[in-house]
Amino acid sequence: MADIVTLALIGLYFVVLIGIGSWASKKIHNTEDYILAGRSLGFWVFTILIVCSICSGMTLLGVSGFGYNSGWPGIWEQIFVPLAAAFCIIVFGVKLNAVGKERGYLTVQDYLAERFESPRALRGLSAIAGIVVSLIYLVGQYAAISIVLVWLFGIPHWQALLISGIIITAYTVVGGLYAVSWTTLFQGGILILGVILMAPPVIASAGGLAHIDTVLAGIDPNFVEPWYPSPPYASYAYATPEFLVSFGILLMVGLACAPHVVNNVLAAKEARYFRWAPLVAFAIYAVVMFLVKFTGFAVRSLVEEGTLVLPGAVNAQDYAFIVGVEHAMPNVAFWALFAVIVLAAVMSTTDRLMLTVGTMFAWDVYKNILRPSASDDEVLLVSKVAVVLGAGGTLLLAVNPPPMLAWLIWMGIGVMLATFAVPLLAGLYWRGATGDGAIASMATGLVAAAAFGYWHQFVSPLPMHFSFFALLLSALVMVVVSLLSARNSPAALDNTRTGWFIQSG
Amino acid sequence: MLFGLPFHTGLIVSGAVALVIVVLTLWGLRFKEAP
Repeated sequence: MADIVTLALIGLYFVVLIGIGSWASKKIHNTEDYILAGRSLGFWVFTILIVCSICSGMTLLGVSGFGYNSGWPGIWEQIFVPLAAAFCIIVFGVKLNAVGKERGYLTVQDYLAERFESPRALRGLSAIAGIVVSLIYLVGQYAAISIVLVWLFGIPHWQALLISGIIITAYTVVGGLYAVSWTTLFQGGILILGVILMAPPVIASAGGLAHIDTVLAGIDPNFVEPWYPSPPYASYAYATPEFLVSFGILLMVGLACAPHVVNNVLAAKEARYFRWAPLVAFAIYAVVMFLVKFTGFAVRSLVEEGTLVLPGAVNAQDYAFIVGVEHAMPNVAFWALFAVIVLAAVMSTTDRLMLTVGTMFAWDVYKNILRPSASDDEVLLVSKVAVVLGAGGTLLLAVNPPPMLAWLIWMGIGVMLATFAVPLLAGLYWRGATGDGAIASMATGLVAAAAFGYWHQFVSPLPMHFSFFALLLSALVMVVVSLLSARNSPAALDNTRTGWFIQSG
Repeated sequence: MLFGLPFHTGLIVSGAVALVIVVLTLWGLRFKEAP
């Protein structure tokens, strides 16, 4: 598949990324510059960073695959995932950004530690949970990058991983969040333009949306319904109303409170961005998501009509976008662009995850728990070493991905929801939430998500997404333990602007 | 029929998107600039 145009474009793409990293490295003078880009992100850099931290390789391959398999009942994903960006900015961002600037927070763990007056236990628990979940997610991202590179160049899996790993690690280590955010703006632009350019021809080649929907309805009349009837009557018909409720909460809240997403709100330069960033992030992301989903529908229609055949892989539906573009655009220049688009989607999430892992280890575990006397230079160095070690470890795991990789990634998102949502929401909005309640609810969410996830996969399928049950338990434990334990001091609550409001004053 | 979809599917999905856009627009209009 690789030719000189593709090689040149991908080479140029990598050169631009390294160039941005090199430019960014000159702006790093201390840990705050490295972790938060000196709280200097402008409106567009901030908004696209939030969108692209959420939007991974799964957006292109998994979303079209889900559309291919399940039809319109899965369309809610196109609303829930972009809503995660808006939810993160409104519900977490406004308050965390304001308090973060006032109190000098570098990570969300700084906020949790002060709000719940738990500088070690809660900080440590949330940092370690965040690192583990981010590492699991990272393995999945690296596996996705290598699938793209192997498919493009026919090079061995480990070479593909090594090339992409070295480039991402290089610019992330030297340029911190400056590099991550500006490369993301560049990559996000490519992703958005690319999808807007490539999806419509695939949809047109299948005869347009009206024809596609008619074909879908012929396969299964429920393919054009807004949800499947309950209980599911087939393996693809799991998007029942009750499942969609839990799926919506998982995507909207779980992705919004994921460490590599929510930490971005601390880096926005001005609070006024929060006025229109939710709408802009939702609108941009929704356009991309709907187009990718419609591409999945189009490919299903083309396959049903005998025009296309998907590869005989177990996850054949994940090739829907690739096969559709190949069919609609045989032109080689488009192929090169397509390769860069998929890489951009995966890499813009990967770099943010790596930086988050490095930050949580260096700042929350090393500086604030293990060695409080560590100098700023030392913390910066540890952060960079942690990024390299995290990248190396996950690359090694991605060479031989665990057999249950897909399950682990879904597990990761479920754990993010069950672990972080309740302590963050209760911390920000309920003055009665206590430190003991936060620790208990976080630990409960972590263990319950693992237990329900295991039960759903290996014992008996649950009617809703497993994370929903863990979230309910976590919330229940937060309320009960908070009511039974001593309240946090009024000073801590006032300093962190805790209360039933989004904007104060 | 809307784009080959049953009318209720088109209405529910486009209604949900419109609702989100209205809510986020209202958020933007009611947002208070920090003093």
